[in-house]
Formats: sequence, C-alpha cells, structure tokens
Amino acid sequence: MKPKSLKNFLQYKSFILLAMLIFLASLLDKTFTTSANITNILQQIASNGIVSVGMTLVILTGGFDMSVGSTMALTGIVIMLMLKAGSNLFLAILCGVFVGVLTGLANGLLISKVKLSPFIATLATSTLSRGISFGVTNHRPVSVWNETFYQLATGSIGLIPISFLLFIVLAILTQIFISRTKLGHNIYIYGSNKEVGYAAGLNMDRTLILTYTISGFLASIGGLFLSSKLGTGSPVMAEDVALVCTTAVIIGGNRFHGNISSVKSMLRTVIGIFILGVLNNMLNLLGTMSYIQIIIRGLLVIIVIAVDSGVKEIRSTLVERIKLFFRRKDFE
Amino acid sequence: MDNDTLLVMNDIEKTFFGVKVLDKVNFDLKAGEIHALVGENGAGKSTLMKILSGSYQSDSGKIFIDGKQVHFKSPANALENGVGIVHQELMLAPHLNVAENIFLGREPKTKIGTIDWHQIYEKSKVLLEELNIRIDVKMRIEELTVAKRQLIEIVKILSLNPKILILDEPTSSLSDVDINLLFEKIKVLKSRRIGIIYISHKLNEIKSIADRVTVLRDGKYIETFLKHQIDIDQIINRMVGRKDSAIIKRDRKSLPGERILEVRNLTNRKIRNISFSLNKGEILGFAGLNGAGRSETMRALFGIDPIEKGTIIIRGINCKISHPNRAILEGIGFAPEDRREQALFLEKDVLTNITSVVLGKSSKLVRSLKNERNIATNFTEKLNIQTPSIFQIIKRLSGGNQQKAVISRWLSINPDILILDEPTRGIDVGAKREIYEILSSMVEKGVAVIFISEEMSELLALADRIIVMHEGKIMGELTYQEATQEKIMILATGNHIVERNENI
Amino acid sequence: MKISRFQDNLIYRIIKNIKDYYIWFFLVGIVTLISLFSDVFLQSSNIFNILRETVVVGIIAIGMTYVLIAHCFDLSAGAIMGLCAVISICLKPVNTMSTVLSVVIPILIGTFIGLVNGFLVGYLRLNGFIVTLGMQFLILGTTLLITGGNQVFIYKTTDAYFFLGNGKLFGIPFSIIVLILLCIIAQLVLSFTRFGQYLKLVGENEKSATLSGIKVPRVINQSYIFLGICAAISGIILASWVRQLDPGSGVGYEFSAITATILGGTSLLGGKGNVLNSFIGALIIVMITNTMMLFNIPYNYQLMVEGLILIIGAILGNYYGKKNK
Repeated sequence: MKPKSLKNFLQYKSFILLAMLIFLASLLDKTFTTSANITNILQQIASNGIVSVGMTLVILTGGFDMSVGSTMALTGIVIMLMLKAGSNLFLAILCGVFVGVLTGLANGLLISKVKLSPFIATLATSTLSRGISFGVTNHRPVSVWNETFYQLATGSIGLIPISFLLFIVLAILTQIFISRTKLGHNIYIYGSNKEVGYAAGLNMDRTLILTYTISGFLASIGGLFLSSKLGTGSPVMAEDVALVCTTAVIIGGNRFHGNISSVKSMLRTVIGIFILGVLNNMLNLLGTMSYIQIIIRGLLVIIVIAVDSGVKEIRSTLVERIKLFFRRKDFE
Repeated sequence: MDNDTLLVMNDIEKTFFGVKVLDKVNFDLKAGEIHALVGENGAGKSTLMKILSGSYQSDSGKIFIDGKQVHFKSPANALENGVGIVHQELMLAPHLNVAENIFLGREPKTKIGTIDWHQIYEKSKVLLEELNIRIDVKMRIEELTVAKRQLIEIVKILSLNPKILILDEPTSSLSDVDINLLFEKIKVLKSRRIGIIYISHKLNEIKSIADRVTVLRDGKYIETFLKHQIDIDQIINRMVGRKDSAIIKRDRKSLPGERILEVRNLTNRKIRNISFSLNKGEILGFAGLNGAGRSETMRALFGIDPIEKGTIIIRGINCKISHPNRAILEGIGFAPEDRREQALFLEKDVLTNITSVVLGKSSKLVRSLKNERNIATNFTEKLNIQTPSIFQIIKRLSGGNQQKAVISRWLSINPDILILDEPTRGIDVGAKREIYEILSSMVEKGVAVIFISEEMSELLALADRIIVMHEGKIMGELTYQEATQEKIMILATGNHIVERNENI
Repeated sequence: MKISRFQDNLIYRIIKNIKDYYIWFFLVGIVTLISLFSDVFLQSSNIFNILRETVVVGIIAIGMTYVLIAHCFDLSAGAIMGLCAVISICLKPVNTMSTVLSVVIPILIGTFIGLVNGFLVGYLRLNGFIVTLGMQFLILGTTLLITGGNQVFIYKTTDAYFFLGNGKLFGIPFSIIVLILLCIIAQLVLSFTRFGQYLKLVGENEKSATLSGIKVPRVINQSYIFLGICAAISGIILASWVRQLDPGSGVGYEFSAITATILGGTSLLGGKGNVLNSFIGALIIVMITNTMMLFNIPYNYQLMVEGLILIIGAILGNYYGKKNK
C-alpha cells in the first residue's frame, strides 16, 4: 500500500517545488499569507490557467498551440465590439467564443489534413488572427463598460474568485474527459503512437482536430476573463501567453512525448500554473522588477527538465542495479 | 475433410505498377492447422497475407472462409470476419499499459457512457490467464521485454476471436526460450481450432511446428509439403530454384594469424568479466539467447556503452575506447543489429551511407566528392549492390542490399576488426549467400570478424570458434570442430557441458 | 544489375533535384507579378531597401538553417539578437576602443549563449524546444534588466561603427554584403565540407551518426554556436542601422527566421536544408510586406498575408520534399 501511494505521489513531483516556493514566500514576506493576497494570486492565475488546460491537451498530442494568445486578444475585441454595438452580453460572449472554436478548428485541420507541423500551423493562424485583430480595431483598444462583464473578472464567492473557480472546474472536467471518455483517451493514444490508433480503426484526425478545437475554445474563455479584468479588448494583448502557458504545463511535469495515461495531466498543469503564480506574486511582494520574474521563469524551465532528465538517469541506473542483483539470485 | 477447411484462396492475382507480384496463387487452411508460408523476399507471401487481412484488395481471384466467399475492404473489415494478423512491427502504444493496449479503440463503456476501466482490467487479466501468460496488466508496454510485447500483441488480436490468425515473422526478435514459450501458446490456439498461418524465414522452426509448408517464388505457387515431407534442403531448393543449400560450409583454408584483440574482464551494467581473444583472419562467433549480452559486449567494445572495469588490448596496446570515434581509429567497425534505426540514413542516398565513416578519415575539412563517388561506385560493383544509381535513396533498396551498403561502409576504411551483429536477419537467401562470400574473402585477406547470430546453423557453418554467452557472462568457448547445436544450447541456457565417455 | 551511368550523371541529378529549389521559381514569379503592378518595385533604391530589411532576419535564418538541419530547435535566437544589439549600443561606440568592444563583445556573448544552448541540448540531451524556450525568457529578462525598461539609443557613433549598418561598398550597402557573403560561405560549408555533411547526417539519424564515429553532441553544439554568432552579427548590424532600440528587442525574430527557413524548404525533421533557399525565403517575406507598404496596405493585412505565406510555404515544402512511402 505504501510504495504504491509513494509512486503515485512522485508523478506529481512539481508539487514539491510548489511547496518549497510557498514556504519560501511566506518566510520572506508576511503579507503573502493574507487572504487578500491569496485572492489576488488566484485572480491572477485564472485566465492563463484556463488557457493552459487547453494547452495541456495539445502538448499531450506532442504539439503546441502558438495561437492561444492571439485568440485571447481577438475574443476580447469581438466581445467589446459587440457590446459597443449594443448587443447583449450573452450574444457577445457567444461570438467571442466562436472565434476560439473557429481558430482551433482551423489549426486542427491544417495539422491533420494539410499535414503541416503544429508549430507552423499555429504560428500561421496566430499571425492571421493578429492581423484581423489589428484590422477590426484600427490598431486601437476597444473599451466598453458593462457591469455584468466586469463582475465576471472581479466577482468572487467568499475568498475565491469566480474566474479561478471556473479554471478549476474546467480543469476537472477536462481531466475527466481524458481519463474517462473514449474521445479523451484517444488523445493519449495519439500522443503515444498514433499509428496504433489508425490501425485500430480510430479516427486519429478527428482526435487531433478536437484537441485543437478545445484548446481554441478554452483560449477564448481565457481571453474573456482577461479582457474583463483589463476592461478592454486590445490587439496587442496576450502576446506571450502561448509561451508562458507552455512553460506552466512543462514545469508541472507534462512532456511532449511519453505522457502516461494513468497520471492526472491536468493536476500537473494546475500545479505548474500555481508555481508560476506564486513565483510572480512573491517577486512582486518583494518589490523586484518584473524582468527578474521573466529570468527566473526561464531558469525554472531549464532546471526542471534538466533535473527531470538527471533524475531519470539516476533512477534507471538504480533500477538496473536492483534488477541485476535479483537476477543473480534466481534465474527465471 | 471438407468440414475442416477453414480458408480457401483461389487464383489470387495482384499487380503493382506493372509488376505482377501474385500470379494465380492458391492457398488453403484447415481449422486447427499450422500452415507455414515461406519464400524469399519479394516472393509474394506478405502481399498474399495483406490481401487476406484486408490491407490490400486482389485484382482477381476468390477468397472463401467457411465456404462463404468474402471480400475484405479494410483490416477492420477482415477482423470482423475473423481474420487477424500480427505484424512483424508490433502495433502497440508504448506509454499505455497492457490492458489499455488490448482494448485499444474498443474500450467498453459504462451505463453513463464513460470508459469502464474495471471491466477492461478484469477482462485483460482473464485473457492473459487463459494463455497462462504471467504479466501484470497495469504494466506499461515500454516496461516489457520484446518477447512479452509480442505475446500481448497476440492476446490483443485473440481477444477479437479470430478464426484465422496470421503470424508474420513472429520469432525474429525472440530468444530460443521465448520461442518455445510462444510455440506453447500457438499449440493452445491450435487446440481451439484456430487456423494459423505462419510466415517465417526460419526453416528450422517451421520444421518443428508446422503441419504444412507452402513455398512461393516470384509470385507463383510452387509446392506444398506435408509435415512428414518437410526437408529443409528441398524447401530451400523450391524457394530459390537452385540445387545448392543456403549455407555454404566455409572452406577454412587459411589458419588464423596473430592475435589482434584481447579483451580482459570487461564489465559494465549489463556484462560481467568478459574475456576473449581474437586473431587475424578468423571468424569468432557469438551465440546466446536474447539478452545474453552479446550486443552489449560489442557496444562496450565499440565505445557506445560505458565500461566500468576491464581492459581492451589491440595489437598489444592497451586502449581506452570511450566513443565509436576512437574504436574506428583503432581499426574496428561495427554493423549493429537494428539496421534501419542505427546503421542506415534512410532518407539519404547510397553514396552518403557508404561514405559516412570514411569521411572522418581524411584530414582535410573539404570533402572530395570525386573520391567519395569512386568509393561508392567501387563497392557497389564489388559487392553487387542492386541499385539503379549510387544516388538512389537507400530506403528503396531491399534489406540485403542495404546491409551490403553498411558492410561497404566499413570495408572502405580497411578495418582490422569487423563486428557484425545479426547481419543476415531479415535478408533473403540469395543475399545471405553473397554476404557469406564477402565475409570469406575478407577473412582471407586477414580481417578479424566477430559474428553475432541467433541462427546456430549459421555460426556452425562460418565460425572458427564460437563463444556462448548467458546473462551477461561467457559460459564457454567451442572450436568449430567440437561445436554442435546441442552444446551451444546447453551453454546458452546457463548450464555446463558434462564430459561423457562416448562409446563409439 | 549494372549501374546505369546515366543516372549517376550530374545533369540528370540536377534536373531530378530541381524541385528542391522551388523557392527560386516562387521568387521569380512574385517579382514578375509585383513588377507588373508597380513601376517603383524594380528600382535599385527599392531593391536595396528590401535587401537591407532582409539582412536582420536573413542572417538569423542562415544560422537557424544549420540548427534545423541538425534536427534541433532554437526559440531564443531573436532574444540573443536583441541582447547583442542592446549591448552593442550600451557600450557606446564613440571612440575606436569602444567601437571594437561594441562589435567584439556582442559576438562573444552570442557565442557564449550558443555554447550554453549547445551544451544543454547537445551534451545533456535536453529537449531543444523547451530549453530554448527557457533561454528566451532568461535572455529577454536580462535585456530588460540592462535597458531598465527604457529605450536605448546613441546619437553619434564613430564612422566605423556607422558604416556597419549604413555604409556602402562599391555602391552596395555593407550590411547586404555581409549577408550575402555569410550566405555563400555557410552554404559552401554545408555542401562541401565534412562538417556540413556531419550536420546533415546527425539531423537525419543521430544513432547512425554516432555509430559512424561522428561526435554528435559536438556537431549539435557547433550548430547552436553558429546560430548564436549569426544572431550577434545581426544584432550589431541592427544596432548600427537604427541606433535606437526598444527595451525588449528581438522578440519575434526567431519566428520570422524559422518561417523563412521553412519557406526555403528546410525540413523540421532535420537532415536536409539549404542556406541559399532560406535566404530567398526571407527575401520573399520582406518583399511581400514591403510591397504591401508601397501600396499602402494597412499593417493588419500584412500580418494576415504573412500568415498565409507561411501556410503556403509549408505546404509547398511538404509537397516538394515529400518523403515517399
């Protein structure tokens, strides 16, 4: 019983890093553990968190989605423009989300049917999308006041912001999707060996298209919350989101190749998002410049994969040694 | 008799790009029978089976299963109708576990529509138990040995209840012990009245397990042998169309020369205290089961894997070989087991593949394209590599020609020692013979050859001495005069040869 | 079977491989098309303008080609360029000594960063995408730190420094000469030296390359170093040219460089690529955006067209470089 739960726990090693960071932060600054600060952190990580849920799916298939940032921006812009034109909020949000779904579909089709690499396809749609953003806004941000919309970003239930709640709910739903449904499980099959999927009669193309569509959809939702928080829809918004979210997914422990289906990939991503969020918050509280945060983010990624690969090396050496020891004892 | 007949294939024809690959081929299969299908590469056996399993459609001809005519449009279609095929390249998802792989694509659902994992694990356990396979269903494929993976692949197909099971080269990556285990399972299937079609190059195995053997040659049906009629030389004769047998008994004219290599107490994670010597002009065979450590020894010798302990003495001088670069400088060449993944540059042309090593031999930074062309052309002619041009992309060549290119690569640097790991695996008889001749002429010129092979008959015919390994240790060494298949097997399974007094 | 001498023939092979050079036909096509609609396009001032703008991305694309051929990835190239450009200006090239430093130090930095990337990816065998992703942040942050979030600029520099980005040699802007020279040398190395062949072999199949005695980590390392140096050179020229830089310079250039290289037919799977083609790829991108500016087409459409070009270019690359089953 004990070794099994230990082995399970080790699948989420990044949690150790998170724990250390939280510990460090609470030591360095008293205000870290105040309820106001915690709410702040949860607030900050929500929109990127939502995007990262979608990004996790994409990374599980071995690809990545460079277009999430521009999708976020375009969604915000569309919502603002529609509100400005007098439409009701629900319709505006619907249209905004439609943008993300459309982009995701386009990405999925480009990669599976036109056989472009994910990098190229999503880079292209990202550029296209940005172009459209600049075009419809004439290079200027669009702002419209809408009470309900603003509530979305700032509203909370007790300490917990609505945006964060939605992030967790979406993460849980998506996790259930990939662990418990055939469509979702197919994503792991795609990431492990998609030829096997084809041979088994599964429509791997559809799996991929679905993956990117979900990513686009979630990017839209993230963009919704971002523009609600900023109170504006701007074509230069969310420029580096794709890279930041990829960082979060990777720091959490997911990889482009070799993901195991029994591990809760979403949990890893959530931990990764928290790590970046806590780090950001800690550095802000300490008054360090935001550039330091960028540097540390970069360092973290490199250290995480270096340590991971180093640990794998040591672990496989140990396993080999143990196997050899037992083989000497009993043959067969 | 008629009730037994499970499958009839009549007058099957198939043409690819104007080349007739199957010419009115007939084949039949009875329930509970193991029917082997043999032939050289290009004889048509794969194509015939691909048609049967639904990957291809025949141009003409009929297929009957249980008396009813069938026409499969896809592998899934064929599976529905009871025809399953286990390919040589295993179709498993490495990061998923056994149960997930068995039920891949057909996961049972619960009432609310989610995947019923409980059922998947339970059913998988049952399926494995039925065949007496002891593997934990929660283990990931990447954690299993090749032999176990193959068993899982077979279980996967079996779970679909096929009436006909096609096994394509099932034992090419298995050790003799694993092969016996596999045969056990096959016999269980036989008792369940499943018809098994068994494609293999390994005629010895076929002799022990097949009820019938059908030979194809150049797309045509040649002959079928019944169990008691199986004679390997005759089968080879029908496959090749020539009288002589596949293996030439080597004419050991010249005696081995001076010592060129001495290995003492070589030890690393996978091997322990390996010591042996090698002389010029000799072929040293390495026998053993899968996992015995032969490839691992050579990888350590060639500088691919690290060495913990031991010395390598070449031409009397102690050498520290930490990278293949160093080994090559010392005059060693190495053709690994996995030709496609580790030796060849598949998307590059023949010339590039042949010159990849000799490139590093010249001190100049600028390449001499003329020189490279000459070398490539030279060896292509000398070794009879069948290719329209030295600029042909090498993946279009057959396995035998690819291997010849790899050998050329090493010949071009005039090695003193050449290590070949399973050089004739997956190669048709004709090319095999050519490679044996190439080796013979090499050793006559004084090159020392280390030859790893699973085919004991090959080693017995070629090697001057045979070293047998087991579980990372050397169990014994046999000269060609004293070596027999039985003795090799004894050592390979970890036992010792007991000297007996023979009554003549 | 006798080897057909005909198929070994050089002319036959050139004709057969002509499809690798499709980008040149593309170029001719676009030039023809644009010149039909514009009288200004083919004027030498415009051509120099285009070439000058190609220089910055073009030089990075040259280095990027090497890294992509080796089947690696570098997301940090733009950031390296930015850092080197910023440092070049911050060293204030107002006298001979500082001018020399303004050129030498950035190149050293570019080399160093390339070395680190090469070490992490080549020797520690970490994933190139992730490593250079992290590197990008690291370097960007450092650049922001140095600039303190402000623009950096320099009004008056030495003539020598000014010459780098703005001078002319035999009537041709010096930066363009650097670009073309670098291009030619890089392609010659790729086609005719042992290192170039090693690069292609390593990118095609690392294991086979190792077993052929090639020191794979070293080759990968060298390709990253080359890219680092290219990024540095590009940065210096940019700095000399504009003499005024944004605090977070360099972001995005790696994407343009990769776009150019892919357009030129280099495969993301490694093993094949051509520096000249990458240069043409960069040229085409600049040509099209430049032309759109000429016709006063707004920026947003430029972006959209860039996206479309990338898609078309990648499709063409797939089609012509198709690995047949």
